[in-house]
Amino acid sequence: MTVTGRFVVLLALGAVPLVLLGNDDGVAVAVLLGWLVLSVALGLVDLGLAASPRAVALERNLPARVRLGETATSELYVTNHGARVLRGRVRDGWAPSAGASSSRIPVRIPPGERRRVELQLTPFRRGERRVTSATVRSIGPLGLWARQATLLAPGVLRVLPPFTSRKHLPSRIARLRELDGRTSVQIRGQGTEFDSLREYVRGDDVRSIDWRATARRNDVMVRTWRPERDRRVVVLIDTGRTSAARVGDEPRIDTAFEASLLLAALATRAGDRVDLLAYDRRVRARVQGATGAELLSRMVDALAPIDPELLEMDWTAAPALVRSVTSQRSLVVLLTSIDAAGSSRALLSVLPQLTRRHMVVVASVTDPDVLASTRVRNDRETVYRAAAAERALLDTARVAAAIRHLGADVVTASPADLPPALADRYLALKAAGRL
Amino acid sequence: MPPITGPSGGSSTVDADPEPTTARATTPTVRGVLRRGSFWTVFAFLLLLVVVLGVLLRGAGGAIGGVLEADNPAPRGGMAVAEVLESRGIDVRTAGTLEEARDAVADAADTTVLFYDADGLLADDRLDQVGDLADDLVLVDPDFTALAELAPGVLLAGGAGTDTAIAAGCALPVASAARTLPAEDTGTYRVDDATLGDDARVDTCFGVADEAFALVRVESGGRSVTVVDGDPLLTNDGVIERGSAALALGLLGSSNTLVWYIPTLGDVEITGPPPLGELTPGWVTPLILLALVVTLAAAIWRGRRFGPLVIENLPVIVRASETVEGRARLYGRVSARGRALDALRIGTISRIATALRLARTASVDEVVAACAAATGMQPADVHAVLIGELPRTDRDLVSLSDRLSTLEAAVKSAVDPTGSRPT
Repeated sequence: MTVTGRFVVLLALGAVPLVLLGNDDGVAVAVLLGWLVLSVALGLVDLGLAASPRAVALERNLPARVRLGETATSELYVTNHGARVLRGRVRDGWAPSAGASSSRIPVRIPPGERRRVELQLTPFRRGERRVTSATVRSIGPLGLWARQATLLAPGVLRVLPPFTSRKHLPSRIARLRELDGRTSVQIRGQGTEFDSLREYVRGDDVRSIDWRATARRNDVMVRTWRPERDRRVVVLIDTGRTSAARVGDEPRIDTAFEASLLLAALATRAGDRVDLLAYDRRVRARVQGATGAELLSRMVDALAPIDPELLEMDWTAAPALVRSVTSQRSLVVLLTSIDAAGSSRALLSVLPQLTRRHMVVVASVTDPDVLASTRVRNDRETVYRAAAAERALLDTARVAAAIRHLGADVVTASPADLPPALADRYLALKAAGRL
Repeated sequence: MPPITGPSGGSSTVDADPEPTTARATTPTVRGVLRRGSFWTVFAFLLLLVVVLGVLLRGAGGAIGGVLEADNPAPRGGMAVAEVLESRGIDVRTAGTLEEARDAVADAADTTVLFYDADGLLADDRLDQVGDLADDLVLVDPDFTALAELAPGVLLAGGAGTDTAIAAGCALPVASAARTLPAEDTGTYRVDDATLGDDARVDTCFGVADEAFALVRVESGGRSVTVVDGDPLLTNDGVIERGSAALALGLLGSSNTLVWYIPTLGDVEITGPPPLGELTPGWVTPLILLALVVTLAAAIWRGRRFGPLVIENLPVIVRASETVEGRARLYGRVSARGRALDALRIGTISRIATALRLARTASVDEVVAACAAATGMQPADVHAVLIGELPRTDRDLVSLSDRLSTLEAAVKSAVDPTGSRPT
């Protein structure tokens, strides 16, 4: 139960008769009491005439998922099963990060009828945004007092990672096509596969001339190659403690998601099989055996609700995990952070097991702020800051050198650049036939 | 209302409108709240009942009512004496103002007036009128002004100064009937013969020491004024001590009517300009009350929550650069100049080595030599900047870091004068 602004105004209007009539003490008190009793009586009558907010059925119509940064429409159907006209407001109890456009919507529902309450949701956080209840406030016909009840109407909206790096996808796919049909001189490597024969054009390497085919035809024929297909790519995302840190505007884990999505999109287009694992001390997400568009949708769906755990990543389980996905030689991409020798020791200790069988790429986000602060050296404070930043960069460089020494590859870039950098590294490896 | 159900009269048709399924409400109903809170409601009601009964049974004791008031049952009240006198057939009338006292006195000759003005509320002219109320006046614990007006010649003599009982020691019948009085806390009076009227007859009883008495009676012109200290003589807890009761009943019960007059604020004459309350119109106070009610209603209007709070887990925000900042502050706090400069130098040397396309395994001396060759500087200077000099103050540190930056820029411009190659 509550009162409205109109009731407050009604009470305040009591000042008029009070001042006009109440020069005498007794009369004034009588006028005051009379006005209060009149107001409250009107309020009670109003309350009695208000429709019941409980005799209401709620039905939700929600899109199952929405990309972060996009807008979804939430529909709530309110059916009035009561005997009176329901006037008032409906508040849909979305969590703040669901970004509801307006939470209090006026409604007027005649008995037995149904109205739609529409909200625009623009979530500003990834994950599952939930709503458990809606509150109906039914105001009486005089608009003085109101009844209110909170009704259960659960709903959930999964907010997917934005995949903003998909803007890099067309250019990378174009590069992938360029790899197709090249002659061996440009991309010669162990792993490239014979694709087809075509006529020789000037500029082709004479070593790639297929003399047997040339003998069969009147033209000089060259062999062409295509990048190998049906390779395995295993993406392992570290969701441990260090992935919670923010670099720039987003946590490391979000950058890792972006990078893995771009890599998966590219690799599945290139005909490779992509498997995804998110792990800290337990498997947080696993996407296996999907290809094409289904792969991406399953990946975003699996990654959406994952938040970093405040646990140390258990690297010792990583080789077994990769083995559980595939026993073939594959490209293993570890999305983690390499900060200091101490915190990367666990990673370094298991890398040999992985590099023995697989091609391993360690991708890590670097902080552009740190790089920038090495250049600012104006006074004592900034010099010390620059020194600390240099030290951090040195630590990272040392860990990267150790990783390279163990036979793995390292990709480091700022949050915006990491996804395309990782995709480029994949393309380079593919072109070199090292997968 | 539009008809929802099927055609009327078709009793065999299945009802088209299924049982409406309303959403389950989490807000408790009023009835539910009452039922759940019934225990506490009953508990609070019982508690209130017990308190009210307790107050009634205990007789509203404590601080209610003033000292020596006839309806005050507290230890320092005067109800005991008044009740006993009433039971003896004496008409005890209480009065709060002089006017009430005057109305209460029916027959001046057959009335005793008990006058007790501890706060000195009565002005001189009113005190004078008290003397004319009745023939028999008992002044209880009078102050200097009251004594001067009503019993001239009787003066205050302070406390009794002894713990032993005081004997009556006079011929006054009421006093000799009482025999002894407790001396504790009793005020005494003495008589100044010079200011005493000529025709006055003085009885002094219960003498303590040199001319100090607990009871003084002055009779002149058919009127008698008795001066006595009422506390603890007349109080509920003091009246049972020794002969107090006898004295009290004897003093106050000599007439058929007793006017128990204790002045109140009504006796104080109002002087000065009229108070603010009389100048303001009658609606001001109710208007303030109305404003309070309106404020309360507005608070409910704005403050009533539209449904429960929505709970959301928020992520912790940790900046990755925190460790760098922390390390920088540590360097600064302990002035780790050498360590800081080492970090800067290693970074610079590795960048210079990259710029000069030296091998990753190149030693520092090779870098120095290559650097000097590229920039045309003296190898000794380059060596000093990159390795040799030690910073002794923070100023040295800053200048060395500047020279490192300059050297790095010089190498880069020497290698790539156009600056087109990104580093």
